[in-house]
This record gives sequence, structure tokens and C-alpha cells, in this order.
Amino acid sequence: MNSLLLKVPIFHRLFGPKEDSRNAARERLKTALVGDRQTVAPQLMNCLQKEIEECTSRYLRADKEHSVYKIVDKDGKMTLKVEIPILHINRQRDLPQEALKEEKSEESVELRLHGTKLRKRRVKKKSNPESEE
Amino acid sequence: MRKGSNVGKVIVVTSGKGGVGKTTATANIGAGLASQGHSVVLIDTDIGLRNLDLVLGLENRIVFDLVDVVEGKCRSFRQALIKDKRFDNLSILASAQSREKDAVKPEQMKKLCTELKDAFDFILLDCPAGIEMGFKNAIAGADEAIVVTNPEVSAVRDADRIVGLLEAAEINSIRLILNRVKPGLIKRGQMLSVSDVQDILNIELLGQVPEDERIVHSSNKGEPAILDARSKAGMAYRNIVARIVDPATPMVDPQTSIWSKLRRVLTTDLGAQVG
Repeated sequence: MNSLLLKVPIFHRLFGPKEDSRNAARERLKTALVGDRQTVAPQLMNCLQKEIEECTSRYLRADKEHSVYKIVDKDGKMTLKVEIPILHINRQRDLPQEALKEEKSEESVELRLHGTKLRKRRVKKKSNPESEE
Repeated sequence: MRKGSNVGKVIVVTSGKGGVGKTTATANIGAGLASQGHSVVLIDTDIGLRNLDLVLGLENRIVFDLVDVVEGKCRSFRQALIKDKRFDNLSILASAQSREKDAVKPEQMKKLCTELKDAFDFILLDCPAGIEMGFKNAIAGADEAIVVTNPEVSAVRDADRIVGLLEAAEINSIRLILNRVKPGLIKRGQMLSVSDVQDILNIELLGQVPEDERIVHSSNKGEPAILDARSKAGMAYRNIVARIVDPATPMVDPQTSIWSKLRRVLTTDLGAQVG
């Protein structure tokens, strides 16, 4: 009976399932445009790669020949994928000054807390694996 | 003849995709600017597919066209301009119907635009669809651009490409008109919203024009919708014109009539009861 009623356009419009295509349009367009803009301006990727290499070179020596810079589709989201094999990491004396400064921002505190939590849980698991949950 | 003291502004109206409403936009903005006392010339740069004259009801008065002007077949551009019936300060330069797209070169368009700048406040160029020669001609002499698009994936994608090309041509002022907006569909999640399109294209929004059946009615009669007091699209174009003249003018939301508000209230309530 219900499905019969829904065959009437006005009822279908009022009570039928909501069809959403707006989000699909938005996401598909965004994905297509990343590709478009990249093909139209291939120098974009080269320029981006150069800047990233310049940045990483302050911390490590990268294997530039085997580095990968790509825009890929990851679960429907355009993602910048960067893979840089490291030949060696700089010693302390070669790092930029900022990298050695002790940071006391909230972010770093949170990270540390998170780290301790993880470690604790692992210890628990080791000592008593069956009692967990 | 001119209202302002500075040289005129050359604005190209473009879109990439065809059929999104470039010619209608050009005609309405032109008529709107003229109605406010500015001297305006509209140039149809779509060689081979002449249309602007028809939309404005001036199709029977063409003697010379754009190609005649650049080829020097008439004494000056003034001889080829067709004066509008309604506004003294609005003229159009029709495109050639029986010629090829390459009959005009970008340098010639640039030269013509420079000449026109001394005589008019606004020079609006109605650009052909596509990104080939016709497009290159139309943007050659432009200072600013208005990109017209519809809230549809294909139109938005083409608009993005056009924005890229305009940027490459160093046209720095690029503004967007979102045409054929259907607020009901957006509300039901079946159409890209104004903010969606703006977010994707990332350019300044000049205005939004709602889908309006009266636009067809206006074109049928060869009268711009901006002169039609009952047209919703006409109202939107009046706001767009005000924003071109003074960018500080706030943008109006076309959905502010009592009926649309009432309808919105009714449908939302019904939807809530079911959900």
C-alpha cells in the first residue's frame, strides 16, 4: 500500500526517500578539477617537488632518484602522495636551530600524553593478555 | 556621450560551456548599465553564430558587423554600431554571420577595444563558447572578466578551465555569475549550492540568478528581463549591475518573496513529520 502511494508523484516528493546528488556532484567535481589543474599546469608538480626537496634537505639526505610525488585517489579523496627514501638523517649539529628548541606548546604535550597512554596499554596487554576486554 | 571621466572598462562575459546564459547576461547587464545612465557598447564576438542582436530585438537593423569594422569596410566603428530602441546610450556591434572564426585576430580586437574605451564607459564582450580562436579574440582586449556558469558539474568544470586561461592571460579581475539556480533543488540536496560552486572555483561571486521562465518570454520579445519588473532573474540582474557599478553593494538573495518563504516553511514542516 505504502509503495503504491509513493507512485503518485506528489506523495513520492513529500514522503519518498531523500535522494542526495549534491554531495556526489561536489566530490566528483573536486576530484576532476585536481586532475584538470594538474594536466593544465604540469609545472605545478615540479615546483611543489622542488620546494619539498628544498625543505627536506635541511633535515636529511633524500634519494631523489627514487622519490615519488603523485596525486592519487584515496577513498574518493584526492591525496598528495609523497614517498622519499632517506639516505641519511642529519646529525644534531646540522639541523636548523628551530628543530632543536624544546617546544612547550599544547600540541606537543598532547602528543606526549598520547604516547604514554599507548605504551601503558601495551604493557598491560603483555602482562595479562586474556583479561583485556 | 560618456558619463565617467576615466577611460571605459572592457569586460568579457565568458563561460567555456555553451548555453549557460552568456548572451542573456551580456544583454541584461548592458541594458542595466545603460538604464543607469552609463554609455555602453555590447560586442557579439561569436562569429558565425550571431545572437546578441536577436536577444535585444535589434536583428533587423544590422548593416555592418564586427568583421567589417576590423577589416576597415566602414569609415569607423561608429558606422557599424546599432543604437538600442529603449536606451540612447546603449549600442551593439553585431557579429558577422557568414564568416569564419579566424576572420578576426586578437591584435585587431585589442586595437578596437582601445578605441572604444575612449568613447564608452563600459564595453561588454559576449564571448563564444569554447576555448579556441573566438575565445582568444574576445579576451584579448579585456580588462576584466565575468564568468557565467550553471550549478551543474559540466558547466562548473568548464568554468574552472576558463578561469585558468583568464589567469594565464593576466586578467586579474575575474568574477562569477551563477545562473539558473534552483533553490528548491538545492534545498533537497539535488543541486550544487552557490557556496559549493564558489568553494570549488574559488573566485569572487558577483551574483546569482534564479531559474526564471520569464527569461524565455523576454528573449521571445527581444526585451531584456532586467526591464521586466515581474522577473526574478531581472531582479537578480539589477543587483548584479549595482555591484558592477559599486562593488560595495550587498548581494541580494533571490529567494525572499513571501511565497517562497511560505513554501519553504510548509515543505520543511512536512519533511520533519515524516522523518
